[in-house]
Amino acid sequence: MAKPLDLLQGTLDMLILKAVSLGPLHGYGVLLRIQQISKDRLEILQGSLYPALYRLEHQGWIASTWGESENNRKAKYYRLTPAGKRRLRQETEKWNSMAGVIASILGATPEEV
Amino acid sequence: MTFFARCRSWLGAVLHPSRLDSEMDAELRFHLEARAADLVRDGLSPAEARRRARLEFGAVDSAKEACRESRGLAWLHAFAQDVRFGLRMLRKSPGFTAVAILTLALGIGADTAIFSALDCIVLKALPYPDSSQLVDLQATDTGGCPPADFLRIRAESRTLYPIALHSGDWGTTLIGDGAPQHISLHLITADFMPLLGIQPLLGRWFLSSEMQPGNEHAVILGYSLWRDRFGSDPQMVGRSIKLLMGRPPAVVSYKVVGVMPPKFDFPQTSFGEPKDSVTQIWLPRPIFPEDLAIRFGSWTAVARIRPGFTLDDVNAEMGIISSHLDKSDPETYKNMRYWAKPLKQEVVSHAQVLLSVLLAISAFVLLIACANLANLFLSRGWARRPEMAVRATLGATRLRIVRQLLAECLLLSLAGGTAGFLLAFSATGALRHLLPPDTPRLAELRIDPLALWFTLAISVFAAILFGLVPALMVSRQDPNEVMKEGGSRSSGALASRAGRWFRDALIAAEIALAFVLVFSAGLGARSFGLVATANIGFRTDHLLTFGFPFRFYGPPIDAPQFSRSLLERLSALPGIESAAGDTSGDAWSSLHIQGVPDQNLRPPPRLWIRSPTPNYFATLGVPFKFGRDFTADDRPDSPLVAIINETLATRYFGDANPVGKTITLSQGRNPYKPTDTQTVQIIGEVADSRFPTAPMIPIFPTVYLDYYQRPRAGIVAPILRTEKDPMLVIPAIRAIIGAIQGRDPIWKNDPNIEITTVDQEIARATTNPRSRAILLGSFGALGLLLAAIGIYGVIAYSVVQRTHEIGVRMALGAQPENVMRMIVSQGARPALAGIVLGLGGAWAFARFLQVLIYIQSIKATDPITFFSACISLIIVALLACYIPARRAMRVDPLTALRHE
Repeated sequence: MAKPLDLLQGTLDMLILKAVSLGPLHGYGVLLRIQQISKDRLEILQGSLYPALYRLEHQGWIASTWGESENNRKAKYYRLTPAGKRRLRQETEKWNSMAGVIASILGATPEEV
Repeated sequence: MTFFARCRSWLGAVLHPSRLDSEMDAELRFHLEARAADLVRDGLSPAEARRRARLEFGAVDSAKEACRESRGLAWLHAFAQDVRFGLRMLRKSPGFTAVAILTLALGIGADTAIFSALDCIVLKALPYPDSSQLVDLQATDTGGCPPADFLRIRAESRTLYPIALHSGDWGTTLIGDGAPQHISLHLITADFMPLLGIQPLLGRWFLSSEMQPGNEHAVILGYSLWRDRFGSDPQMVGRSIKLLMGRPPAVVSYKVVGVMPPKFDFPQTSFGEPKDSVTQIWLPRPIFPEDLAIRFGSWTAVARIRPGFTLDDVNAEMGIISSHLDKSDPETYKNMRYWAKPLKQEVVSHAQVLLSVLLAISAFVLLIACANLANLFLSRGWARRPEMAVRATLGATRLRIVRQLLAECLLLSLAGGTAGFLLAFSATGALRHLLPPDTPRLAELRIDPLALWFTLAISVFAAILFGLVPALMVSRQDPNEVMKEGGSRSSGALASRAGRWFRDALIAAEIALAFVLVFSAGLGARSFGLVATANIGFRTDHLLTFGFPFRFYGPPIDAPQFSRSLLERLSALPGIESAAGDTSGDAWSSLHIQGVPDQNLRPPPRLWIRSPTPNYFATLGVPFKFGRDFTADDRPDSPLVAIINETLATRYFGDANPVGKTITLSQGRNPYKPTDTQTVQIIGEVADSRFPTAPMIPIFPTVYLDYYQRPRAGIVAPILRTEKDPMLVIPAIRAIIGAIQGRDPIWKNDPNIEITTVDQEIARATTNPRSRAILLGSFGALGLLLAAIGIYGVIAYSVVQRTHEIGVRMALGAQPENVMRMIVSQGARPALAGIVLGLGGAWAFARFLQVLIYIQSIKATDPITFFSACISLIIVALLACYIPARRAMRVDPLTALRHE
């Protein structure tokens, strides 16, 4: 297994939005899902997850309700709001175009310049 | 959408901070437990799994803090922390806290009380619907509105409707159902009450039919009379009461048609008896044909501006109507015009200046208190430098430190504000008595929600004022410096030039403000002192006087005969040195002297006419300049004689002896068209005296006519000079009055005739200047005391701070006197600057203080008052510096060096 990558600044919010867009999750579930999708290649600091969740909720992109967890414990579930859905779309587009630009810069050869 | 979500989340967090915290706890606990469970599944022991889960998560508390911050709550949390910490700090130094809260409570309480008075009396609209549309009509010459002009204006005006006329009266006597009672009354036309827009408590207002001569026997009772005399009888309307009316007075029956609502006090006072009370009954006043000739009188007109017109429209119209009046009768109306003035302005204008001055003065007191507190905080901040340094080293930002210090200030000033508000609230009754009795609308004075907002606002303002600069200075410390020196010696911003400068500025500001306060107090005291010691022109001691009510006897009596026998019986009493009496003459008269130019002045020069008995001047102790007194030989059938006062003599005859000259007196309802002209011969000139007027009323040219020679309807008011304590004679006088009254059952045991000494009368007449002097004096004393404490605090503190330095100086050979001079000059320099500033401030403030001056002989920029204020402040400042300087002088160099 490769050494986990540090998370790029500002990308955690986007990943959380993506994670909950697939279905309501509690905080620990968000962590697990991101790790599962990334095949453990991303390391997320658990302590920074919750401030991010609270920030997104405060901004109205995700909403929370208390519910039962898999093992019948009370847990707080987050889901995406319509505003969050729009936000995720924008962020994804921005990220893709940014990634494309950066990739093309990094992939440039002396002949192309 | 997201905006509302944010607000909701924020509001939820603010309103339920504990719920938020417990939810956060539960959520994080769930996370840790779920993680641990997963780890156990991976094969770890439960204890090891919990440890690993915690380790992976990191610091739980800082995560929580970050979560709170995510929801915009960090500041709130920090604020709560600041408040908790502030409370702890304040509890730790109860003495400091108590002094600070007390100072603030006094300052804020005084401000709140005066603000409430200004608000209720001056700013609030009069308590009538649409009261801004109410105006008062005044002629430029009479200041009032005579009945003839009223009828003309009512007929011609398009902009005013309705218009009503009202007049004060000398009062009357209510008889039947118990002891006779002298009551104040006000005369009104039918439109008066409907015009104001108020409703009667019971019954109705007057009908226009009751304004027809002969139909006017209806009465409206004032609330307090209805309550006290008639036991709040709900069946009062329709009953009749008996009043003494007319001249000579006769018992007339009046039907009660209505009862006033409580607290109705407009017009504020009537000029009759009893003194200083609100109107007790209202009577309809028809306009009789003979009223049309009245020019000067007590009539005043009020009116309501018709919707759609402005005050300017009304005054333009008044100009036109005035010119019509002028055309119809130029002799009477030359150079005269009518002005409409807002009624509220008429009611409140003279209280407005006084209350504004008082508000400014109480604000100065609060500012001095703030300066003291700023200095206290600065000193405390210096003592707390190590604490601040530790905080800064541990990562507190400067903003955070300032915020924490300000939170302490805010706590203090809110506590002071609360105490001040309660103080003002409980002192409302006292304030009603403290304000001069001529203040209008005192019944409406109360502390209301607006005052609460005002208190809150000035509390916050005060906290910023006394807290911000010290907080900024304390937080500017370099932690390294503080830590290095161990916090024992002066250095850094607080001891730096800026700190010194700030302290000096505080002293200068306090002294300047205190100067203005002391100057105002001095002016009030001096004005009152001059009033109290004014040359009154007669001997006030051992002098008794009393008066019979204006409408005294039911059956007609021969007033001169009655007066003569009364005075004879009184002067026969043991202990009476001499007895005389007088009555006032016609209110408006004019004087014509052959060959003297100022005869046709408009309005005619004010002239006093009095009708004394012989022996009047001797009884009062007024010396004759020339000529003789009235005697029994001056009889109704002998040539008319007069005595004049010095003011009149000087104006018309210079220093020459006026005895033997003649003057012509014109009297009549319209002084421009006199109906009664009499030529009298001058037999004497007396020195000026102020009997029986108040000491602050200027002396007018006065003509004295012999009471017995020109008989008048009224009974004289006796004046008695006693040999010993005048109080001892009063029972004997009461016995004589009782014997006279005993002849008529109505008058048996009339409790209403008040016998007073003239000294008491004068004290009563000078109540207004006295209460102003007391109010200003208390503020001045408070300001001076606070300023003295302030300077003392600054200097005493600097002595403590400089103990080491002083020790070094003395060890190196400085004499105690040098040390003393150094310390005193440290305080004296800014104090002197403050006095110079205060001089300028007081000079600028003086023109607002003109209202406090009751006597013409001084101006508001009175040099003696300026001088005394300077001297008293210099003394106080030097004393406040001297006490700590003496302590500095006694510093023992050895101990001081060990002070380290």
